[in-house]
Amino acid sequence: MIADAVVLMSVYAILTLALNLSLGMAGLFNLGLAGFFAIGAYGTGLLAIAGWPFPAVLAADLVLGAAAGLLLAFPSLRLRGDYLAIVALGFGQLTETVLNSWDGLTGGANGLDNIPAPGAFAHVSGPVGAAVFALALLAVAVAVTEGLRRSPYGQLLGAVRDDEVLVQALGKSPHTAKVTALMLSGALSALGGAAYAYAISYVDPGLADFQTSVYVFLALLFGGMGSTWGSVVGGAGLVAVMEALQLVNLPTSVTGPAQEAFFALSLILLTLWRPQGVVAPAGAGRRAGAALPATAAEVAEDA
Amino acid sequence: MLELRGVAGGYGGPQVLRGVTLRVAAGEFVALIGPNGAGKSTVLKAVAGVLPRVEGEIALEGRPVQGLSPRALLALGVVYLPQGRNVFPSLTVLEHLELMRDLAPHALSPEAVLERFPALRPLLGRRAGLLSGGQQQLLCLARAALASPRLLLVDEPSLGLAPRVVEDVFAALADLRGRGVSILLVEQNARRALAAADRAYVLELGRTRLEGRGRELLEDPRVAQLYLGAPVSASAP
Amino acid sequence: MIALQILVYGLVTGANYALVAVGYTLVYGILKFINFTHGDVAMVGSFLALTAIGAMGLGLPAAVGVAVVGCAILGMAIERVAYRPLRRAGRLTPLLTAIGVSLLLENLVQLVFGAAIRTFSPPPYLAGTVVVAGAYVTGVQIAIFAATAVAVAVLAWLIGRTALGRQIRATADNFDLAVAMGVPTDRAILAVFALGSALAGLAGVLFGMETTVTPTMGISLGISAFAAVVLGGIGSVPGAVVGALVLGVAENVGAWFLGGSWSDGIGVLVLALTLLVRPEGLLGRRDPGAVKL
Repeated sequence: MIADAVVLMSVYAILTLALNLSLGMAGLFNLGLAGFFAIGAYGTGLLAIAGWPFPAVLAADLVLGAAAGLLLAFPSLRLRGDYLAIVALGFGQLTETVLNSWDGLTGGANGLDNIPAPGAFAHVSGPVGAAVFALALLAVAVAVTEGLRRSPYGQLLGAVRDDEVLVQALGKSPHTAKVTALMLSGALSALGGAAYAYAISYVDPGLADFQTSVYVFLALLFGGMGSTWGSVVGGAGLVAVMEALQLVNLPTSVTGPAQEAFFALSLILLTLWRPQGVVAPAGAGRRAGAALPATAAEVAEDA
Repeated sequence: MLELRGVAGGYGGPQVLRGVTLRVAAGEFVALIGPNGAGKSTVLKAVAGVLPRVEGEIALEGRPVQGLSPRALLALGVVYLPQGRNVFPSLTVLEHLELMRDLAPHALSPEAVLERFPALRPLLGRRAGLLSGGQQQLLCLARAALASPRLLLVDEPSLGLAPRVVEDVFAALADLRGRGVSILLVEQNARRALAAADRAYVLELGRTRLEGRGRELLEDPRVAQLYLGAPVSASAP
Repeated sequence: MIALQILVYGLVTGANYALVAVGYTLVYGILKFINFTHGDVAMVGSFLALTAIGAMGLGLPAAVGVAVVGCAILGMAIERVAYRPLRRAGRLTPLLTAIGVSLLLENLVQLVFGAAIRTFSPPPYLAGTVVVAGAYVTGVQIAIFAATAVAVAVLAWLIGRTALGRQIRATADNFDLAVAMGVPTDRAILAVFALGSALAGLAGVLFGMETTVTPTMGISLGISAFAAVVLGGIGSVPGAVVGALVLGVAENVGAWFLGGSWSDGIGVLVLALTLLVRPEGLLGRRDPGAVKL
């Protein structure tokens, strides 16, 4: 029970870190996060079932996630930010459609079952082994995102988010920065998918659901945009609340929608009343009342 | 008609206005001039209800009006023409007039206004975005005239216009004044503004520094000094 | 005659999309903002009609009235509560409340009605079928065409010929000038949400008669309708209608060759392709959402 919760907490924490990379650090509204997650989970499942060794599966999975990010970047990144949001949402829906419809590869609505655990963790099999494995991948994700955040590249992303024109004036390409941010975010989401598929050993098309993306947005907003530590606490805290809601004794036809409605309402209220987040509040550079920075052009329009 | 006393305010950052005191009598044409960055446009915005932060007293016929929305001010007979291209590009000329007719409580008919702006008549069906700059400015003035305002606030109506068109604009303003409309005009073209106005104020660094009859100020060496940026040890508030 | 039959189905789908698409394009025109909740408003319209017909025993015209009025009120409430407080907070922040409202509506409907797939039966006077040039056209489909044509015509008149329409267009053209001129911009924006949502409510009812309705249908409906908007040229009402009809036909052709379960994906592909190849859309003029640098 606790070990299962730790797995889910790790997975959501990784996904929140992935969203933090695109939205928190680079200002890209990656609403297709669940699609990347599902792609990573299915990629892991298919390759592991095919007998690939763990390192090869993980490497292929990261490449797959990055490639998906590149695919999404193509039609949307030269356009305004809200276009990326809706194309990304469509990308997530399309992923779910493909997973549901391409029966021969994905098993259709039934999903993939009996995904073998990675060899290195086989000797600590069972729920505890799965939890340790998921935590290990989370540690990797934390190390990578925190390293990126402190690097010159992380600063470039912040500059792209806050003032794209300035970045251009400095001779850097905001477009390249955005494309790579989306690829990295895709790879990290796929890593979350790998953690999920290996630890739970079962995947289904519902992973690509819109609702998963919304949950991660809530976790990131709660944690505070741009903060690695806040993302981890936000993702884990979200799962803790989910688990707590499971304890309420109601039929699943009620708890499912009620939980989603509760989280949806939380997202609305946080955005309206505490847009800077709770765990690690986002600080300077934000206008009052804005969860996300306005572009420099918008600020200029207001003046 | 309009009285400002110790008005301060800005956009949220540092104060742009730091003590503006002026009055416009009923039927009077008053110009507000001053060097770039003095805050002339900001004064109009403060009166028009579009400046985020305003302190001090703004009274219209003795009644305090600070904080009122442009919509409420329109109901009291105040029409504001901001700086720049003040037309809606996809609306036709006629639609601009109809738009104002629907908003202003004592609006004239478009037909009555077209009598006074015959140049607009052949353009009625044209989208305003396709008009020349001069035609657009005439349309703005016609739209303002249609509201039959008691007070007109105009910001740099001659900006970017050919000299002949500038004359048309000032002729239209003079016509409005002749019909009893009080006017507060902000102009970069100080010479032209002082020639047209009954009285004028000179604004420097957010404060009204000089006041006088238009033609007197034209001759006043302190005005030239202000424009050149030298501080004035003037007594006028 | 299969081709003609597919065309009929495609145009019916397209007519429905058109009613949803118009709402996107109106809101985008005035706020430069993609209203993510719009597909879910149409979904709520379906369930309002379902309630009106099933639980309240009303006829179809009354059910349309319930859905149209109910959705108009819902649309205005969403604008007032979830968007207006964030109007000065940049373009992306309201998307957060939007996806929240979207998920909230889905699940509130699911709590009330359950997750089951539902249909409503058309009234007897629409049960017939006529044959046009070898293709079957049902009474429901004729009703869908007629209702869409009337609704779009009424909308075009409202926007193009009335005082409210002038205020809406003025606000869309230049928000700050409209405010300075005393145009009631808040009311114009509310009116746009009311009009768009009313048409979405109508679409919800028509959708329910032609296909099935579920609480989760809003997202894919929304994406398809938005794809239609972009295809036609965002901000343009005629563009939205043309884009919707083209997309409706494309989806039905695609479903014929690939199988019905793929038709949802076609909207996404059309959206991506349009943005890649011609972001201003078929009839688009200006501001295709491109970042101006």
